[in-house]
Amino acid sequence: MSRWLLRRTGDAVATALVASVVLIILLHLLPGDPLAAVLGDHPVPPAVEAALRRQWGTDRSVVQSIGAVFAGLAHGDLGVSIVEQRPVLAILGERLGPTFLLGALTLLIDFTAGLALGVWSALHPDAIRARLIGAITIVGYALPSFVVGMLLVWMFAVKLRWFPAAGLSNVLLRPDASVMTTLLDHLKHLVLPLAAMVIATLAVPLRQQRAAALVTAAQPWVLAARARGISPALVAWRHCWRPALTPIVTLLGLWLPMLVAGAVFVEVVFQWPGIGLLLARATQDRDIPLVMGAGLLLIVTVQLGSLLADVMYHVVDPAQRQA
Amino acid sequence: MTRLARVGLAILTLLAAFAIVGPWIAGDPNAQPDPVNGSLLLPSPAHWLGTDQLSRDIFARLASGARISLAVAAIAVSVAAVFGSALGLAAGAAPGLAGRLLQRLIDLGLALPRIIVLLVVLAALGRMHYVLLGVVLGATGWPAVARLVRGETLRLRHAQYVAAARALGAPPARVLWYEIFPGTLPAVLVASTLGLADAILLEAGLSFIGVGIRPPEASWGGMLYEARDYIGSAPWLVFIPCLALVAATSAATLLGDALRRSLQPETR
Repeated sequence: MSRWLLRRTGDAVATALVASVVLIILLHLLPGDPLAAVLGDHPVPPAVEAALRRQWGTDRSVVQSIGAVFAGLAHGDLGVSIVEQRPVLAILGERLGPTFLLGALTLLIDFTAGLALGVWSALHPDAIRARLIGAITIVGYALPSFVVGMLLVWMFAVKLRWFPAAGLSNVLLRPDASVMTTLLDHLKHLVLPLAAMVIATLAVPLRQQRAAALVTAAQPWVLAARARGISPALVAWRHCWRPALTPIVTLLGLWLPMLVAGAVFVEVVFQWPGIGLLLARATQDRDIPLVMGAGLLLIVTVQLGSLLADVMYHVVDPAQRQA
Repeated sequence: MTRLARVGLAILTLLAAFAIVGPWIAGDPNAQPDPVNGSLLLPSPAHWLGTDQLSRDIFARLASGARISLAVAAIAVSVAAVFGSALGLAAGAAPGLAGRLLQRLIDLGLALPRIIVLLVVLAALGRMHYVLLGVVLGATGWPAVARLVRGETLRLRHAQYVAAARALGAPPARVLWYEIFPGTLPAVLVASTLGLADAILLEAGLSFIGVGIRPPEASWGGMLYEARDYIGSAPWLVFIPCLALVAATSAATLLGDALRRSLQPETR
């Protein structure tokens, strides 16, 4: 186990490193000069341009860039944002909380409600349930997250006025408001983005778990357990749930990139001040250091997630431990 | 072919026809006939789907958007299919170290979240022509195709008819091109149809966050980007492109699922 874990961790680190090198090389190979785009029709003295190029790092060769990024990483320095003129790391730090909150809650709901609904629909394959699951699946696959988000805004923020349409908190809230009021305000702002994320991503774990539970429910030992008079609920809990868990754990690794993409679009819809919104805006501004920093952060997160999924796979499936 | 697949195919055909013919009958998508009195109008005989905040005809923008959005997706899928197939075939057929290296390359492509690579590339390139956007989308879509084709290649290498061709003395290149490659095409077709939905969604998403097709050019996602601020006063500006998007992606998904069921029964 420990040797396997070591090798798997090494793999994840290597992938993250190679991925960042690929991104840096890509940036160099592509035409397009962000500085020229920003300067536009306003020519500056050559000395100023040279200074700006040095500051932006556009005067470096590929090798120098790779070296600079890794040296920076070792010092915990990801460069300076062009637009904000502040360290990229500091900006990322401010944005991490909202994204993590939204992502973790989505994950939690998807993998509890999704699993429960999947097992439930597999064990009671009647028409109404099948139709309900079918509806969730179709909505999840056909409606992109930002479309779901816009429709939610229209319904619950514009028409019904139940929840705020955007942001993390009410800017008009007085700073000396009580803790309860502030918390409630944050919760209200969280509802719609969270709903959009869950609706857009729930279908995948649900369908996977349903398929896995259907296979498990058809096993002879499930029938044997039922024949011994064990109640259906207990059979589901004790005998169907755990074996059906392995496919879902591997899914977690595949599912994280989806969460990242969802986060970018949903955060833009709701102006949720997380990494996704930051990445979208930085791309629009062509703020390369910031885009690189946010991109690297998300790549590392995804790698960590798939590593975690593999470790959980080992824990859940004893057969894997011998391998 | 199941009924759902037929529905999917019919919708896709209709949308493609709309993308080809629509812009001819709809007129200029950027004309602003009357910005003062003619903006945010409800549908009427003069403007079939109403007008937007700049008095532009929504039907004309939807038609022009269909052409751009579907063209981008079609280019993306073609690029990904060609590049992915070539790489997958090579990875599956190349012996020893070369095969392993290609396999690592595919793994790396799969490990990189597509949206992040796209945003980095778009940040570097800035505003671009829609054909180029299609190529860029395709250049990030190959790993899914490559993985499938590699798997099929590995499987077909041990098929009896391939062994028979080899036994008859066919050289490896001939076996690969005439025996194995045609066998991988069903997998490519399935991956491409499902990839079409992905490409439409990605283009719309990127345009929606303001980094794909940018105003004043019309694409479905770009229309949403511009309509965002009018969701309270003119929600149909949001609904119409949403409807077009959902129709296109669900049609591609239905067709892709049906193709997968009929062409690759073993993966069910």
